[in-house]
Amino acid sequence: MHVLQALANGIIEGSILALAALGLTLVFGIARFPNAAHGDYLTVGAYGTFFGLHFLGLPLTLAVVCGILVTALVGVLFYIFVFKKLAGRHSAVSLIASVGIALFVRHAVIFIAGTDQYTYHLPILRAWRVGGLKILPMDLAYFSVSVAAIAAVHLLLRYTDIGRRMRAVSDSPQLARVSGIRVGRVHLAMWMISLSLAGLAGILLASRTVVSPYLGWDILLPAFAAAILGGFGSPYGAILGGAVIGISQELAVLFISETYKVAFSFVIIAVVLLVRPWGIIGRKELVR
Amino acid sequence: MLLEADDIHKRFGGIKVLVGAWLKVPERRIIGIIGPNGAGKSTFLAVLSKFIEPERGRITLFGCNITPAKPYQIARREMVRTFQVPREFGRLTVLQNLLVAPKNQAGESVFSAWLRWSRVQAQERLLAEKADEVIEFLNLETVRNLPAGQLSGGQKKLLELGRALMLNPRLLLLDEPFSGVNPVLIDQIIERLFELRDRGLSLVVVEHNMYAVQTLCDEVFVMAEGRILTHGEPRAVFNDARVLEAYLGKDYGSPAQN
Amino acid sequence: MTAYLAAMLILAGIYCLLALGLNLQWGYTGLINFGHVGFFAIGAYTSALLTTQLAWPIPAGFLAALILAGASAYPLGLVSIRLRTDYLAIVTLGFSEVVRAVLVNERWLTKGTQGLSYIPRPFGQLPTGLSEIAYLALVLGVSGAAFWMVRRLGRSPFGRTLEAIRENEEAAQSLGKYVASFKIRSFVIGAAIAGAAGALYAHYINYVVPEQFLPLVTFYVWMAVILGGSGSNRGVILGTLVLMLFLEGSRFAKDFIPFVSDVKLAALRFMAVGLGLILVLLYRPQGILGRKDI
Repeated sequence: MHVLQALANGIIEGSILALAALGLTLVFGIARFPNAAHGDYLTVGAYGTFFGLHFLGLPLTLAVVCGILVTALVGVLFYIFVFKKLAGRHSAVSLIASVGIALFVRHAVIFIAGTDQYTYHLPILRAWRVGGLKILPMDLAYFSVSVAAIAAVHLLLRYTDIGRRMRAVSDSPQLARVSGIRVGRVHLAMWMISLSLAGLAGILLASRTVVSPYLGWDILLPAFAAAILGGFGSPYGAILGGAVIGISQELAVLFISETYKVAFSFVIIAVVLLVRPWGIIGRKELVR
Repeated sequence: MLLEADDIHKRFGGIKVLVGAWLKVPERRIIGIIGPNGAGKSTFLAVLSKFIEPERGRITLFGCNITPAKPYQIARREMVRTFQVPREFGRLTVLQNLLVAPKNQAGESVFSAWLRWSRVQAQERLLAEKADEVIEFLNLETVRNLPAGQLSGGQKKLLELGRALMLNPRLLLLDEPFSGVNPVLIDQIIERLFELRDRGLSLVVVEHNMYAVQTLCDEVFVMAEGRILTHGEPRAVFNDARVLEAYLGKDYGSPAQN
Repeated sequence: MTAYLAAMLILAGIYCLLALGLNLQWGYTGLINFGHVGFFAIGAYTSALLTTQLAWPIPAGFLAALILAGASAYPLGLVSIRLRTDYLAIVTLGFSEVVRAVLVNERWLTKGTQGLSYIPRPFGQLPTGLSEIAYLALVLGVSGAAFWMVRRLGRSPFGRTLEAIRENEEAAQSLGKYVASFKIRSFVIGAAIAGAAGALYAHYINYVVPEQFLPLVTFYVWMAVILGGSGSNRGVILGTLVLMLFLEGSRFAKDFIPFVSDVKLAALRFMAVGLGLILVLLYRPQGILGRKDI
């Protein structure tokens, strides 16, 4: 029974993790560097929504939109003023810069909102008992939102023009440019999607737990683990990885201490990168 | 015979890239390898220098069978290969680029660097002398202390050659040494390569530049579709009908016209 | 006042050690090590444990710290051979977080979040003021030795080959260099130096808790190295001093900006570090004393 409960929790956690990993993997697939600031973008989304709820008095849906918009705005600014300018250089430079951005953003949040934790004060509904399992209706809501967002991204990548172009640039930037695709636009679109996913993931995470400055940073390693496991750069890989890591983390906690969760992510990352660096469904070219 | 390769076969995926390719390199000779794109020239060179393992075939270097050997073992055996795309150490100076090359430097041991500094320095002085000789030989004095990344394409090729020379090779495998090089520089490089031959080296040169091949090579091997089509003196080879066909057949134009 | 200055210089010296170690790994060899604080922690806890629980003499604890920190880098060095630089960054970050998780969890060994206290301090029996100065001399001695060692490596063929590997690993490989061995040695020596820094830190502060070893420390050191100039040993020392000057100096800013709370001031400082990192990378990637850019 514990196992089934862990499984259920894991699926929900996994869906949020998949959202975070998806944003991360989109950046890697197209901009070709791991974005260490991604976690803190999640945090921005969470705080943005809190701001909307408690300072602008917005209803929940609009507050969520507000949070996502704030994240997108902040992230796009950093794209334009930092990553775009660093585009020609080695990916290590963008990685290190993203660390600087992560530090800046995280502490800007602390500067503005302090280190206290906040909550959204969402209605607390009683858990449903389904065949011995305890399921929080809010959790189901989060799960549905995650799945809907993931589905939306899937549809976008598969069936829209911009999605096709994004896939082309991810496969081969040179070829894409030569065939007339405006690579700069694709990058911008990618960032907006990645940031929106980050913002949403942050909001869901904060709804499930609390709004705190380290919300996103704490989930960064698991998000990397999910993206890398699935195949860094592959959107479907990120979704798969998110599910796997989410579930296995919850299962693992049945046996190891909670604080070792991070060790779990680390081991996954190390093993995957050493044994099968392109993950479950990733592509070999991005590996070395 | 310095280098002998026999019946070399290699596949990539389902494609046969080398089919019974062979080569014989005597001492003090400059051998050219030409052929249309996709003929397998670079792959052949890679197999000869053991960067790629052949499926079948035998390679003998200085009399020893090197078929099972690994690339770094070959560099230690006086056969050195250069690459099509120059791979200079961009932020090291030209001099430093050359100094990196020699094998088994005492100073590469941490222990020696800390505790046997005078010995390390003595070796450095010797190596620097040799490097300066090579720099002079290649006319790179003006850029001796520039970061290698700032060199022109032709200079980078020279640097690549220089690094190979630092290893005291008896046999050099050059992969398109003239591509992207200023025509003025080409004759200078040819002069240098002749001088190397006179000093006792043999060279195997994969090249597209037919003027260079004609001027430089004692013997030319023509490859097409992974096989050795024919070989002989440049003039004879260029007028061989089969060679023309190999090139024209792929819409290339005769080598003599290139 | 002298005690404060000495304390600042001691911390600066310890950070310089961290920077020198990272410089060997990143500046010379091009390895992105985002887990440097892990070696720092291993060094600190090793010496702390051996001197408090097993009553080892301090020099022995120091040596053990060095060795264990270096040894812990060996598997990471092995890993670095097969990973591209940005993947190595993620793995090393994970490593330092795992180290911290172990420190928090294995209470039987590390006393968890409570930490280890009453770590003996060399020269502790001297009166205050004199004790600080003596310790400062120790730190300067160790830093000076490390500086000499790293500088010597940098000027030797070993350092040159490290740089060649950074510039073009394949080319170095085809010249017959055992790239793996060089990368591992660079990683291990850099880690050992960080371990030494950890031991010096533990014996100075006299207590260690896992919270002192957050990734933030790693990124401070990165800031110092990039600011000072990756690859230049004098540069990273300078970068460390500038960073420390800024961080300490900004503490006094409170006196001039009374309406800003402590928490906000601390946050501002970190924002400045993050922003500084971005600006340096954008506009002066070679840092202050660097001779080359990234």
